[in-house]
Amino acid sequence: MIVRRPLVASLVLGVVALAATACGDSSSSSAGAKCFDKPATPAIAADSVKNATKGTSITLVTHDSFALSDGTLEKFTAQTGIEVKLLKSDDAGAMVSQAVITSGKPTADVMFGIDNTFLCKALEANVFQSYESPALANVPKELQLDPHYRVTPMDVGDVCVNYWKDSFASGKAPASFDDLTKPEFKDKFVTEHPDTSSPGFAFLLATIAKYGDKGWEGYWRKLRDNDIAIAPGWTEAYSEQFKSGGGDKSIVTSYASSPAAEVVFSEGKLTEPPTGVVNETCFRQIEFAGVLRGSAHPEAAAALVDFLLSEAVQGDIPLNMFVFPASKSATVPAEFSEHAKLVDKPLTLDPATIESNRIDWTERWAKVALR
Amino acid sequence: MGEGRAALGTRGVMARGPRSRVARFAMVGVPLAFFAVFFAYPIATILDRGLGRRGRHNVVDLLTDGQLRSVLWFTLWQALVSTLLTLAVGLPAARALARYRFTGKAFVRALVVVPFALPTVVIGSAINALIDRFGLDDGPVRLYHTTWAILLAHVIFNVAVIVRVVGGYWTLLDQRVDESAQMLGASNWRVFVEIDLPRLRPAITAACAIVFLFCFTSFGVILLLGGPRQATIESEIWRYAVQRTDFHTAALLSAFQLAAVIAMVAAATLLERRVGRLAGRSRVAAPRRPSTARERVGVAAALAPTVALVALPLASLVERSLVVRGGHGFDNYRALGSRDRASSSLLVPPIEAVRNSLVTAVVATLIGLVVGGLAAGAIVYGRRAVARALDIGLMLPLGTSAVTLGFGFLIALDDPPLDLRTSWMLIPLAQALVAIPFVVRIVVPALRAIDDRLRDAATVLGASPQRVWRHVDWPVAARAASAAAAFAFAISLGEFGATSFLARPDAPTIPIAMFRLLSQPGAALRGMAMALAVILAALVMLATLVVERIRPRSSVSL
Amino acid sequence: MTVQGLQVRGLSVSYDGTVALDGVDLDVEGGEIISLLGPSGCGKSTLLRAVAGLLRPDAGTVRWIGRDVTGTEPHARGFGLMFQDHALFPHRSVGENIEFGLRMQHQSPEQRRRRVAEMLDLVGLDAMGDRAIGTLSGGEAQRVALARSLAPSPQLLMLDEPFGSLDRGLRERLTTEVGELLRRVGVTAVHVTHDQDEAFAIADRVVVMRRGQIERIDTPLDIWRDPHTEFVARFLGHDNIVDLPGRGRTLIRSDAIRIDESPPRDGVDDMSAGALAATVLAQRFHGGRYLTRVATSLGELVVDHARAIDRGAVVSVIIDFGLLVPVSS
Repeated sequence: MIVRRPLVASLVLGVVALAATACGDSSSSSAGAKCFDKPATPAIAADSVKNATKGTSITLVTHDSFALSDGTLEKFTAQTGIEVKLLKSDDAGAMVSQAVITSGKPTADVMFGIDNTFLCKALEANVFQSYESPALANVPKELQLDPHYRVTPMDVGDVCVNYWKDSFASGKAPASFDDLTKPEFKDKFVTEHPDTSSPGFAFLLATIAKYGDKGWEGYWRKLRDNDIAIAPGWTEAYSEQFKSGGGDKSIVTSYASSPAAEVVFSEGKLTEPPTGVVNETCFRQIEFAGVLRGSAHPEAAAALVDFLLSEAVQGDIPLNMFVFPASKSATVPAEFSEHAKLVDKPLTLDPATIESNRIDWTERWAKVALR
Repeated sequence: MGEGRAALGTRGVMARGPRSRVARFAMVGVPLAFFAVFFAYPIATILDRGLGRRGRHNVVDLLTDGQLRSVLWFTLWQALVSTLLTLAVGLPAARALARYRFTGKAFVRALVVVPFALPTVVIGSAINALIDRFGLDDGPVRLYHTTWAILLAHVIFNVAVIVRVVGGYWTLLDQRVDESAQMLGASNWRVFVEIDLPRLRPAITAACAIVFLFCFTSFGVILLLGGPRQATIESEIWRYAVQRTDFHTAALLSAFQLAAVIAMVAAATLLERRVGRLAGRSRVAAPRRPSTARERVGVAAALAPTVALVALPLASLVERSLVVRGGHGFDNYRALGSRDRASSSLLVPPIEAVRNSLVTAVVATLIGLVVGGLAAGAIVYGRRAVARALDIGLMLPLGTSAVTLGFGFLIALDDPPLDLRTSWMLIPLAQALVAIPFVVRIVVPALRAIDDRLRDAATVLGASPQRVWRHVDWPVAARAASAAAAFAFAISLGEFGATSFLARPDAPTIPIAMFRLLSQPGAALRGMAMALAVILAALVMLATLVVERIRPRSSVSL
Repeated sequence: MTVQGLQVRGLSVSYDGTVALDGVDLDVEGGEIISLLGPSGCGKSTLLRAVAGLLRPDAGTVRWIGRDVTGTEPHARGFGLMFQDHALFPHRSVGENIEFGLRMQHQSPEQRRRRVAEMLDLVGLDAMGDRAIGTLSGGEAQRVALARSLAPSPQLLMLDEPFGSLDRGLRERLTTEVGELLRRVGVTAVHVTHDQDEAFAIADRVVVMRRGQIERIDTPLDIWRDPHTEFVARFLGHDNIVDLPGRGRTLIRSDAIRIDESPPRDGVDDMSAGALAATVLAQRFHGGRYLTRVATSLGELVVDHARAIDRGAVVSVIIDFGLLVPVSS
């Protein structure tokens, strides 16, 4: 029988082989390491960075929201003679996943834009190489989440629920988590899917931080009963369904800096933001950059990390990416700081906790929020 | 009786086709090598890597977890229904285009290909806009983020496959068999059901297989039109691999998807083969103008659903591309040439994306034609076992998760001499993987339909097997290939899944540029994305029309 | 008076500027078999298709027993059509092909089974009902096609060059058989061919067509004896058309001319006796006799002769003036 049907036979064998590997619980080399354990690879020495060869070319991989003013990266090349190629991934999750699967054989040299919710995933997969930048002296300690300097803080922002001021009489705008479940806000709130959107995931984490692992599902049940809309990403939510983009939703999950962005993008038409922020719902997001382990030019990469913490970049971040620079010494443009404020006591969750529960939380969320 | 046989299907497989050893080797070797290096190896690597890690779910879960089971079921069900609906809409249109001639025919034929080529991002948002415009998102009829929207979108995207693949094959059918049936009392409907459909089976099977695979692995449509509540295997692979970085579960789902696809494709190729050769010396009648009012109405009614479904989203696109501050205008198009602050999400002026897309599309089409053409030859002329393996193998990329493939490229092609990860060539190669099945599925039935008597006639007239092949088979293959080229070009222009991983930032293709523009806020950027979409649509139509022209003039049109 | 059969009046068809049929009138009596004969492009197939309803005429009417069917769909006319290449349904068996028309008439399975057996018997293909179409020889396929078109008892059967793809022996045999069969069944038939032997063998009347018009309609014998025009004469295979003094353009039929192997007296023509001096140019063996080409004062003539004669021999050609017929151009 087998000989007559070689095709069928090989298919059967293939499936059996696959099943065998699938049932096994074998772990690869880097899985299982704890998030903040000391890494095996030695750090890049700070003084070796000065010797980074001129004329090399390195690649900076970022997510799609990365933006700097024209000529900023060219300043780095002028200073060091090192050329930088920019490689934009899709969103942060895609960027991290690609880095994880290619750990040790990266397609770039430096990654910018991994945030605290993805941090432990990357660290456990041994994606980065340690480098303690001298510029860290200017960065507040609470932002330096990794004790082994595998990632360097770049910017800080809050993900908060925004509302369209004109849709609400004064004093009637939502001001808390509980407000969002009230009948007067029924069918007005759009948030993003936690799987495909970083602010969406941050909002989910905010509710978990607020209501705890036992209570958040109940909260989401109420949100669902209040006809919360789920958009795949921030663009659909903010630029299409929210009032700002012409939609009919007056409440959206966005950033603490979105009101400032509205003013800046209005090109002079607006002096006051048309949107407000629900402070209670803000969840802290810290973005990092890091040298990818296995890069062919680690010193040059480290030099770029230094540059990213310099005034040239840090001062440029607010009006391009609408988050606050990590460096205390950076100048924040007035039109940004006027309308964007970091919340004093944002919600946070420990990165290791996020990582170990991520899939469980998102699966449970899907069961509750998506009927 | 003792007379010679009416050659209604002879078997002489080995005697046909090109004779030279080099040619025969290349026919099998080149596609095999291409498939092994650019598909089998990356897929095997990523599956191995993924399955070797720890992850949230295991094989048992796949079959027992209620959530996952419903995902599997939904994927299968929506693909099946989508295919049937697409067939129902596309078949009458295919018939009208095969049998009749009318003003605007070339335009209609080119038009249906456009949604097929446009990335789901764009058509999906156009459809959503239409749903909104026609008030179909609340009230008695709710389409927004429902399964119906998914099915509708699938039909719009895939009707081109039915219309052009089945329609093209239809023109090869002997009209006199139809006329015989008519004279025996069969009404048009009877002729269609009893006489045409059975003879069309190879083409219908081929087309439906492609449509089914596309719907089975559909991703953008599920996300955009189905909304967050709808999930298919493909969207879950995406979630687990990209968002949840659970490569193990993603690999499991991928493996399952692959196994399902192999089974389906094997079944389809079996069906495709069973119908015998088209009988007799086909008198292929040139399409004629509808001569009665009834015929005219019939043709219009046959084409109406297809044209409406395709034209409306496109019209919506055009309209949105012309929306500028304060009314309508061409500002969005003008802005494509500049590189101002607002378009900092792209590193180059958006208009360069047009050039990039064209170049990669041409290269991808060429690769697709060469590899696909050789493979078609191997399948038609070669030994059965090899033919079957190639047939199934080359269809697999259509049914493989783009995510899986993209990741596979990332980790497999990372060592010299194959370190193509950051190479520009990777994109046309990835696109060619999707184009090749089209070339095969279009050329193979056409070659198989060649009446052996034509070959016999040529042989008797003194033609060597080489020349028989060149003068009888090659023209048919070339005609079919030119139709396939139009498809391949269109697919490559609009391809988005795998290229989004692999594209270099300084060389975006049009879909990537659109995606980047759409992911930044700002009505101006949205307008520019729409303008790019309209340009893409126009390019696709142009490509299709050009291919029609350069095809050798003959009564057979595909 | 209503023709108890087919009546075509003023039928005109043009394709892209070329006239295929030019105001054709034709009457076919019920039970009659007529052949449309002519060179390719003469419009015979077009006429057939127009009568079948497979194409719409630009002008004119088609009537069947008085009823105007010009606007009726082909499947509703009750006519049958048999193609040169049989056009059998490749995906069905012999029996299924034959019973197709019966199914369209909604006959019961029992009726159909009986009729199919009847048809198979009629065409001499008993017990072949389950054979696949691909396994049939040319002659068998032809018979199946005939059985298929006769099974639903059509009022009018059209045959479009039905024997063209067969070899000569088979063709001749089938032509006779089919003709007898059609007469036995009593169906009215219109048969199209470019082969005059076939037309003559099968038809009650022959219609010679040329350039979209009917040039001549008559019984085979009458047409052959008196073609009227040179075109028809030549098309029917008459070779000897000459200009005779006092008579003009004349046809010398093969039954009006013979060879006398003794040369004429004095080696010159003797017109009063109808004898011409002739030199043998060539001979062709044909059906047991010799078609002999001779050179005469009237030009080259072809005469049927029983024996072989040496080339260059001088013989007499005897013409029977009483059997001569004039022809116009």
